[in-house]
Parts: sequence; C-alpha cells; structure tokens
Amino acid sequence: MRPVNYHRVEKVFFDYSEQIEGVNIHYACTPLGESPDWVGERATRYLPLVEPRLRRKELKLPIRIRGGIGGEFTDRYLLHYYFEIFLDGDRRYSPLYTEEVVTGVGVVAVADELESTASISAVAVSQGRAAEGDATSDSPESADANDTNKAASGNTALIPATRPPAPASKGKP
Amino acid sequence: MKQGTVAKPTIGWLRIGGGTTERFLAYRGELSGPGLRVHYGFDGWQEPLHEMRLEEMEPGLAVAELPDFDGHVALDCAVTDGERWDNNQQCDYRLWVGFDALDAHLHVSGRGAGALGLASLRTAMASAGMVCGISSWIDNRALDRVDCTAAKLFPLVWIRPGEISQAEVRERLAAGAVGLKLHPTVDDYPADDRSLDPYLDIAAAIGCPVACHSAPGDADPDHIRRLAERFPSVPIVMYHTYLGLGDGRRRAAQHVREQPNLYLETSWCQWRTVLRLIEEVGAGRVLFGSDAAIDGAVHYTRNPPNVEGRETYNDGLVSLVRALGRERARQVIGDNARGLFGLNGNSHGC
Repeated sequence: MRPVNYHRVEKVFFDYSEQIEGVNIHYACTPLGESPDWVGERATRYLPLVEPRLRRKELKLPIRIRGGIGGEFTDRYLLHYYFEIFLDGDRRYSPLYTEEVVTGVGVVAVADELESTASISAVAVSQGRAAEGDATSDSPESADANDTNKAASGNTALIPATRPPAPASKGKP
Repeated sequence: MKQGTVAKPTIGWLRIGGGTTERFLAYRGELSGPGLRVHYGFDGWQEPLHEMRLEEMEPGLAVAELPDFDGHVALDCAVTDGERWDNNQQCDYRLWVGFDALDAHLHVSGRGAGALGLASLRTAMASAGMVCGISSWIDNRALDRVDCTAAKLFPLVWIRPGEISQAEVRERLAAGAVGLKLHPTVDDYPADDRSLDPYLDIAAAIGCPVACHSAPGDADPDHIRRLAERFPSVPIVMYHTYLGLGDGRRRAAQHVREQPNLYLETSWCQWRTVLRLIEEVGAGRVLFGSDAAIDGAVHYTRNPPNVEGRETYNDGLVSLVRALGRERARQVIGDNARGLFGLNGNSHGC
C-alpha cells in the first residue's frame, strides 16, 4: 500500500542560465548530527519548470525517522540535499545544503511505529544503480549554483553547507 | 525536432547499393594522404594486431580491403597517416561483423560540448559500433535542439503526467518520435498511475511502444506489469530490467514471460545476466541498451569498468555475441528494437 502520510517540503531552483537542460535534486534524511549514506539512501527527483526559469518540486519526506534519543522514531531530523544541474552537456553540482526538519507529529516508541501501517521508511526509495555498488566516481563540478537556489522550504532552518560527496551513481535521466 | 541528412560514420563497412560489404572498411575521417593505414584487432584488441593500407577512392573516402575475419565478431581499430592518429578521441572505433548494432537506451542533453552532449554520444557510439539508437532526455525541449536524423537517433517523448499535454505528445510523435519514455522514480509517480492512461491511449492508437525505467519503488516491475495489463496492445520495455538489488530482475523476467506486451532492456546488466535473461524469456523479448552516454565518451569502454563495477560494455558485448551466436545477437542488439519501434525491421540501413 502506498504511504499517504508525508511531510511535504517545497524546493525551488532558479535557472541562472538559458543553457540549463535539466535539474535534479538529490536528497536524504538522517538523524540530527549524522551524515547521509548517499550511496544507499539517496533519492532523486526532477525539478520541472513551472514558470520561465523557475523550477519547483514538492518533496515527500517521512513524517518520522528512526534515530531519536533511545532509538525511537522522531519527527525532528536533518534533510540533506543538493542540485544536479545539466548545463550545456555537462553536469554541475550545487553546494550541499542541510536543514533541520520538524514535522510536528511527535515522537513515538519503536514498537508503536512498527505497528503503524502508515509508517514510512526512514528514507525515501534509494536509487537502484547506487545500491548495486557501482564503481563510478565522477567528481562534482565546481558548485556555481546561484544563491537563489538555496532552499525555500517551510519549517526548516539552514545549517552551514558542506560540499556534496561524489555521487556513486549519476542521477540517470 | 530538427531533421537533416543522415551523416555517414567516420568508420563503417562500405555500402554498395543497398547492401553492406564487410570485407571493405570505409574511412571518412579527417586524416588523408598516401600513408593512410588502419590499425586493427579483433574482439577487443586481441593479439595479433594488424595494419592495412587505406586507399583513397574519392575526396573524403578511403577504403581498405580486409582479409577473412576467421570467426571473429567485432573489429576494433584506429587510423593513422603515419604522423597523426584518429583514434576516436582515444576511445577507438568498433565495427560489428554480421550485423548493425543499435542501442535501445541512449540519452543526449543537447548540442553542448559536455559529457552528455551530442559530440560525446557520437564518440561513445562509434567506440562501440552502435550505428544508431533510441534516445530521450528529461526535458524534451533540450532534445529539440539536436538534429536526431543526422545523429541517427530515434527520439522518445518524455512523459511527465500533468506537465506535458496530450497535444504535444501527438505533435512530437508526428514529428518523428518513435515512442514514449516514463521515469516514475525521478518524476515521482507509480508506474501504474492512472494519470498515465491518456498518454498510453495515444500510444495504443498510434501503435508506438513505451520505455519505462524499472527500479525499486515507484518503478517496480510489479507496477509496470499492471500498466502493461491495462494496455495490452502497447509494447512496454522495462529499461534496466530493474536497477537495484533483490529479486527485481527475477520478477521482471517472470512478468515478461507471462505478459506478452512486456520486454526487457539490459543497461547496467553484466553480460552473463543478459544471457540468463535471454534464456529465461527468449531472444525476441530482450533489447540491448546501455544508458549511453551517461558516463560520457568513454561510456562503453570506461576504466574502471562501469557495468556493476566489473566489466565494460564493449568487453561484455563481445562475450555476449559469442555466446548468443550471430542470429540471436542480431535480434537482441538491434532487430528487436527496430521491429518494436517501427524503424525499418531489419539490421541494415538505419
């Protein structure tokens, strides 16, 4: 059964060049203070153009993830994401952004959450090729995304960004 | 989309009339002169290597007559004029013996000079002996800037439910697109979502196939099968035959056995996996594809290897063709796609 309880966060991207041929957002969720396992936990979504040069996508995030104090399911976690920009035949990557998400549904014990049929995996569906242990290792290009392309989301707070790791798969179009 | 004149490959078999003469290698590259020679080996540059003089037949065309291929399946080569080399941007050239190879899963982002641009894809295709292919891009408008005819690419229409209109889909199919492309994962919908039905209705009415990314989650083969069951007259190709771990490939093959309008495509599968899939579902239900040139010009030859980290496409294809034999190889690496997508039904001329 397809989960229906999501925490929705909108992300926007402004096309800073007319030569942009597509933009993906890669993201993963972790407990507070942790870094994502990009190979196993990354999700990728395309950002469609909704207005001239403006792209927008609503991410469906879990309402809780496992990893609170004592291992319970918590509604407070980190969203890590970066943009993959296809520009003039090349891939470029934005800086990595990390922000805190509070969904407001509260904390539950592990047993209660596992019983809930509406529980959602702690992370979105991973991308298959990455999960296969692909050995590809193309380095991200220089991060030249416009600051406009930082997050525009709801109850989130930006945390100082770090550079994204080299993706193990390349966000196949 | 733009449509121009079909470009002749830099290296290919000499075509006389409507046929191909595989004893004669034709070179139309940038090198010329009396010292022009083709340096070649077989089946992935196996020793011994050979050289043969290329004779200029007309300006821009030099030809070499090659000896018997002695059971080899592929010829790998580069050209020299004695001083310089044309080695296809260091990826070398490949020609298949006995069939014209087609890649059923390509991507090109436009005319840009980067790894995903047209020049990169051309180099990659020449390195693997792919004479043509079926291509798509996440933004149809970017592909509009590519002269697909000249590049020997057959485009698909990327379907993003609710974003692309049915009128635009019809227009693109009328303008030369050969099918529809679905990517449920990056576009965030289940592969059997009802929002797809208007587009599948168009495919059914026009008689064109649908290529669908298959992977864990929304693009799971179970979803794709349900879509195929709703539209039994529409051929649906499962790109990647499930890009993930677990039993997805087994389920994909089972669905193909049970649902007559489903097909498998093999990008990112090792050649032994491809062989197993062919044995499970039959050579007529499997299409070779590579996802080129996601890894750029070296897509088919990359080192370290990019197919599950263990083999290159070019190495795997030689083993696969040997294992299949020429007739089944011709089906899988070309004619199945030609028949399904209504190209020209045989292994030559496109």
